[in-house]
Amino acid sequence: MMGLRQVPAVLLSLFAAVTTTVAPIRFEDGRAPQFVTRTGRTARKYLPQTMGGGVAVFDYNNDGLLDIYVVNGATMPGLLKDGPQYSDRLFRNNGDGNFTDVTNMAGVAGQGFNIGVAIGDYDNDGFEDIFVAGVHRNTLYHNNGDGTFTDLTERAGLAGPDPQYGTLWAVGASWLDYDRDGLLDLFVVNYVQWDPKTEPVCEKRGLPDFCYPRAYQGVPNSLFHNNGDGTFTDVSPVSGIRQSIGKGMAVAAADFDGDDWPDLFVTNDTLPNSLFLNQRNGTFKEAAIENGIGFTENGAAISGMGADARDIDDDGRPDIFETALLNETMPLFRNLGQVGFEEITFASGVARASRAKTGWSNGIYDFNNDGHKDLFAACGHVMDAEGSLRATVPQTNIIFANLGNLNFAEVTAAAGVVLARRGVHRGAAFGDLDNDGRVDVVLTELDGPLRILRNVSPAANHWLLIRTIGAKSNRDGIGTRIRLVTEDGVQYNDVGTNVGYASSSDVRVHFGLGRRTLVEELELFWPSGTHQVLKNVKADQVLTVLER
Amino acid sequence: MKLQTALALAGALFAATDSASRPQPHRTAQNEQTEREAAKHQLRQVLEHDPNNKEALFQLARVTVEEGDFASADALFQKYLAISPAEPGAWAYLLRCAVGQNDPKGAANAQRQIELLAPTNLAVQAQAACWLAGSGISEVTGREFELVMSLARSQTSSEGLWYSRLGQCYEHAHDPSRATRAFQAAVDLDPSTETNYFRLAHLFAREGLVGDASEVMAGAVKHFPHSVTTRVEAGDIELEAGNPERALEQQQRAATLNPRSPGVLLLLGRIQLAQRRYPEAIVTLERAAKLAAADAGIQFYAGQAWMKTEHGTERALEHFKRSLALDPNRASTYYWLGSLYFHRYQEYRVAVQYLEQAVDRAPELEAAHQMLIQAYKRLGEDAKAAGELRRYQEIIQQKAKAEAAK
Repeated sequence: MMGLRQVPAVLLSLFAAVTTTVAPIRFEDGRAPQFVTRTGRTARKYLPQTMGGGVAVFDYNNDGLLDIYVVNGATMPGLLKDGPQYSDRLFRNNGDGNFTDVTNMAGVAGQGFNIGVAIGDYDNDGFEDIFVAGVHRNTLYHNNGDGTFTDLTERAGLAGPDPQYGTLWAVGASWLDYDRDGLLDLFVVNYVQWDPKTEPVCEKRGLPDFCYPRAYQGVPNSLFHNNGDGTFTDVSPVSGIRQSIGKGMAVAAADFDGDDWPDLFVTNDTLPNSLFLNQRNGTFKEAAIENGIGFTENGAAISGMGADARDIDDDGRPDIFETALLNETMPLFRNLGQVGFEEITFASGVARASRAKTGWSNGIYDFNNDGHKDLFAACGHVMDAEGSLRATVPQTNIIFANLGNLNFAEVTAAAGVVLARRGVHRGAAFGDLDNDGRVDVVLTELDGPLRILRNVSPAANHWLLIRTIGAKSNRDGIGTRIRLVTEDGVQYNDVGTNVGYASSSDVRVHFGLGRRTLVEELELFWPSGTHQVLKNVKADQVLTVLER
Repeated sequence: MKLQTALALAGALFAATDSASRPQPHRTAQNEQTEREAAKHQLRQVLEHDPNNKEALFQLARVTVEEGDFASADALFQKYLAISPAEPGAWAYLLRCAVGQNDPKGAANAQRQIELLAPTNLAVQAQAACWLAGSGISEVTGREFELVMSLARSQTSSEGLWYSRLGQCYEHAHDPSRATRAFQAAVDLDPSTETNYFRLAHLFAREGLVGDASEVMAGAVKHFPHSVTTRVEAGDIELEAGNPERALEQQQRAATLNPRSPGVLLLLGRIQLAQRRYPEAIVTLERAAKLAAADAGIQFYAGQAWMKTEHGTERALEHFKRSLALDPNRASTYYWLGSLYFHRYQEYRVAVQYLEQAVDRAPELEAAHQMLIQAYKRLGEDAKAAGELRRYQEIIQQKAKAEAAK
């Protein structure tokens, strides 16, 4: 691996292109529950109507099956859920490919215009809780463990308006234990200052349309420290997070600088990306520019959308896959360690195909279980689907297969007819819904149906799903770094739920193992500092690892 | 004799500053300052001998206004008006002084006198309105604009120029609503001047009213179907309006009307670039580059077009280098060369050379700082990377301070 680092990525990609064939990636329609993401369409255009669509896959009832939670819009400009069509929904996985709507019983129908969702067990009681990010209103649902949830937003101290900016518009969030005290803290991504009363009027080709982000002022993100008693303290000012004003769209949490403390990468719309490096004392330092990740090679700030951080070249350092607007490409940043990041969008082959798309939620997952993590992005243009640019608004999603050696090939067309379907896609959550070892995708479309892309990739490759249960660490084990060794080599992945844009994915960590049926060594580096090693783990199982 | 000389000097000075449309010999700020000092010196000498010399007083006051010394100019105009109180031009300048000193009462008084003395004098009224535009002097603001607009009905086409200027003043003052009305009046009065359409259309486009912008340019194209300039501007507006196909069409018509115009081809190439028609953009820009090999801008955009293709790095490099040889001051060319050596060749030492030049010329180019820091790091020059980071942070802080002060 070290030798390869000396070779320019462009040469590697040429080499890989002629020497590697890729195991096919295939998806087909799963039986998605009936649901439409409503934007509260109006003749007058309001910016939140371009957003939304957050979706989560998580096991709310601990039956070993991933359930689906999807957020929804509201009336505009009133921001009211004045009918069941605007309800957020929880769908229980029946285990037979069908889902049951349990929203009302669970008490999670929600209020207001919601955008994103983040899943994490913040009180370490063994049941996953839900944080919903919305326009001028966030919600924390505590999982009672009996199939119901309680809205504890006020009690938790998460309901208050910002002292300077008032009620904020949150897009997404990440649960992470930034101070490694065994409790999940909450980082909330905030977008722009917005008020329906002062919404500017814009048009495109003579028809009303949404305004560009430059018409709105940016805001800081928020960091809430978990006090361990069901309450949170807003530590945004003292942590340094508040010093950076952005137009946040998504966050990816990972240990980017290799010091064992979680850092945060935040995409901003039309502003440079932010990289908050954990200073190990409760504070963060914004260091995107010095680490080469504020801008792409074009030199202009892009419309950063979704983000996922995982190790695409298995060198032990999490890399970043970002989505962006049509014509901006979807930047791929390779983590070089101490010297920062290098952009490999062109060299990796990602630029050409991604240029024609506007990407939203995205993920780095090994869809064909060949041992190399692939890329998926949900796509759809920002403008009004009924406006003058309507032809360009619905888009097909995009998949890149990892050919190894930092080279990717677009394989969307070969991935099945479901990938040829155009839509105004937004959210995407990744997880193995049927526990067959292949990562499925749950997708949302604005004013369109919820869809399940069932992974039916044919290669008889092997896999391992790892569920971490923390003891000293947070119970989900979020932030745990996993190193896996097979005869084919080493792979890395991290435990976390926030993936892409506004969405939350399976907390279980997935590895594709190719032809290998045995994992020779599995190392876990827990946030508490615990180092755990398992030997000779059999493939093709969901492995639960308790922190010891 | 002295008066003649002094007035001639002052006259020459104002001829240069007043006439924006006429080509002027190259004047540097230093030249202007020297000329101004000479004129003032002469005018003061005249006034020493004849303190009530009206012409000298007026010209000295004008020069003083030009220098931004509104308090002194105010005193001179007051003196002038004491001698000759019925001159609307002097009252207009007095209004300028009041605006400069943020004196609402003085401005209101001067405006009243202008209205009284020259209610139908478009030039004076329009100039006064221009000076008041965006001044925030609420006692007056608004009235003077409506007065100028009310005069439009009785004007001939040659007066369209005043409305065009008025529109520019209000546009500059971030008052798009008044600017639109003024530009529209200019088009209505003088539909035979292309620039009147362009100004109105660009204003609409900037305000996001792209449909209106497109409509205005459609009117211009109808009026000037064989004008390359109009086609080019229409293409520009259509591009801004999000109508790339129509933009391309207009630009192609322009290229047909004048197929050997490198400027037209350059714009066509830029539209093709924006539309991701990279092979077409390359052909167009290569043609433009052949016609105007010494045009740094064309070489630059040709380089950009090649950069967008996976295998065009070498050609991009050639064009950027040619562009740089032709115009060694363009920061963006240094940036792109730096980016090319950094990202495509991983030749960090060479990248540093270009990026250092880029940030020297355009310290606000954040991406260049980012890449320069990275390049130093790749070369193991951590101290330089840290220094560059500090420099970048200072620039950002200064920028933030300037923004806050605004």
